[in-house]
Amino acid sequence: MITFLSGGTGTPKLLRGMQELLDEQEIAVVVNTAEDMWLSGNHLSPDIDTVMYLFADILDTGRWWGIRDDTYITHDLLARLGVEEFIAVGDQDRAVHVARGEMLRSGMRLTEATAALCTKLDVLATVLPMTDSVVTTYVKTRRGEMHFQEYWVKHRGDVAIEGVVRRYRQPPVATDEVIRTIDASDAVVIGPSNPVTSISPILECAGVREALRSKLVIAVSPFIGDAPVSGPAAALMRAFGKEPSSAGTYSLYRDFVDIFIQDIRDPVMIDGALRLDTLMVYRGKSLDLAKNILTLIYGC
Amino acid sequence: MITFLSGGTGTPALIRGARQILYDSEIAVIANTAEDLWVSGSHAAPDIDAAVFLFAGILDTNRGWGIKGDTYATHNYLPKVAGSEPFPVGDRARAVQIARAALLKEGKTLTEAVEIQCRALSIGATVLPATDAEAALLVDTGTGSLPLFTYRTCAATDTEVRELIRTAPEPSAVTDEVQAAIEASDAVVIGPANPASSILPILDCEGMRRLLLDTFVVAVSPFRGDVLPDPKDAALMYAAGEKPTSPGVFRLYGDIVDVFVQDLHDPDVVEGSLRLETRLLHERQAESLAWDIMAVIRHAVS
Repeated sequence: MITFLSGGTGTPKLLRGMQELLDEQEIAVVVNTAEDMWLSGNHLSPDIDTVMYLFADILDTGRWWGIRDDTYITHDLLARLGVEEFIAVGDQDRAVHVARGEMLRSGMRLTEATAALCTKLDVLATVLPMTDSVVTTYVKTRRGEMHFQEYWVKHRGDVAIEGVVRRYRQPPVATDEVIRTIDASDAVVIGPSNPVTSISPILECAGVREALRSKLVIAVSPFIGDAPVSGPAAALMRAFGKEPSSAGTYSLYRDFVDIFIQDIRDPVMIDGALRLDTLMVYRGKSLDLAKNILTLIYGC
Repeated sequence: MITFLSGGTGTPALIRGARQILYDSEIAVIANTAEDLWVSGSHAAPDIDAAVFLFAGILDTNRGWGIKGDTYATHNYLPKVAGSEPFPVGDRARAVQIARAALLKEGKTLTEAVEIQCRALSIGATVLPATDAEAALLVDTGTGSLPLFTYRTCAATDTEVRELIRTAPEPSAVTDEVQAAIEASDAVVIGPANPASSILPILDCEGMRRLLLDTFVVAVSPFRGDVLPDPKDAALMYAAGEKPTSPGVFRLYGDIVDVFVQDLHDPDVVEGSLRLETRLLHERQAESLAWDIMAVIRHAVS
């Protein structure tokens, strides 16, 4: 089994390739939940949904979120009624939010709710939220703290940020399921997800770093030069006190990473890093990168 | 102004007829809230919504609830990912429920929330919840309890109804807006709705019966002795201690009623009642009944 640490776009693109090469039951994904929020009375978990929809083969892979061919009847009427949902929630997507909201209200853990949804959607891979407690990424702006989803989706990252903070009642702890899965894996792969908002929240869950140290860990940098392959990583890295580059990414992972992969175009030099084509612009590229990584893990 | 006490599907049908005679701005509706419930994180208020949708011109008048031409993408997808909802919620109706839930969570009263929604839908009539307090009823089925709306929409027809139980510890009070609407009205019309589930919850609001004693009240019986009532309607009436008949309805309303209307063909006699055609199978019948009721009111209050 291979465990992936995943956010919402970079790693799912890699998973798209892995899905074709591996028995799905041999894939486990530990997913960032620091962007979760309650929206319109129900529970939005953007990264879990993207991973889950990918394996259920219903993901809109044009956007890498939401359900393919979904409708937006409720969302559109809500706007006319004065409720601006800052993210376009599709009607089927909303059913998943409702189902999860009801399960959490009834006292289920997020891990259990996710497992129940995966069973219903015929997902054979293991999808695990990083923690069952609530931890949320906020960005500090001049106007105060803002939920990351609001910063990235509503304001499209077009607000100056001065810092990134995680807010929680109790410090997040990785679930037993997460630790057991990592322990049982042949290797852990960190995909080219945003190091600050997607991967760091997972690493910050108590127990994860320790579990990774005894494993073969392969990480893929999401940067080429100072530009991220996608998303708002550059500004966030700076706000996080790190250089927005592969070097900054490496410094976040160096205590446990065994193989660090950079893009062949990346001008930043990191000693011992492996160079591969990491731009997964279409299915074939995802497949190539996945094959290369599997060769690193299993040889031949 | 004319105020209607409304619940179920019978009263909206009558109001639909009244709209042919009165301007919307002359109509106030006090809607039952005993069937309100939170479902899927949003606020269902079937009797309020029926009235709001009617005046917005979007009520599915064939069913008497829901929005005409609504789709059910979320509702139909839910069983694929979890359990299903107790009753069908359309995608547009869900938006209305979510928006109302959001207003309530902001701290608005139900009356304020409904007013905001009426404005958003450009409604000329006044739609008022009977109360802003928690007024939901539970059906004691002997083996458990069900929210009243869930019982009405999806329980098995032979489900026992022992008692209707109030969820709030004490009876709720009418709002100032309800009081003002009744005081400004020439008359109050109690539509042909099941008293046990739709009208008594309104009359039980503290202050309501006293207000109605000072007002000219016309009530329409929803039952006629020669037509077998819906088994759930019957069960609810028995739980309220009466038979599902016009005399039963008349006794439940008591002294607040000035003119009691029962069907022409109803074999059960209520002394002094006005006999009219009360079937509301199509809009013409509703308009005709509304016309007769308005004539009675005009005669009485002028």
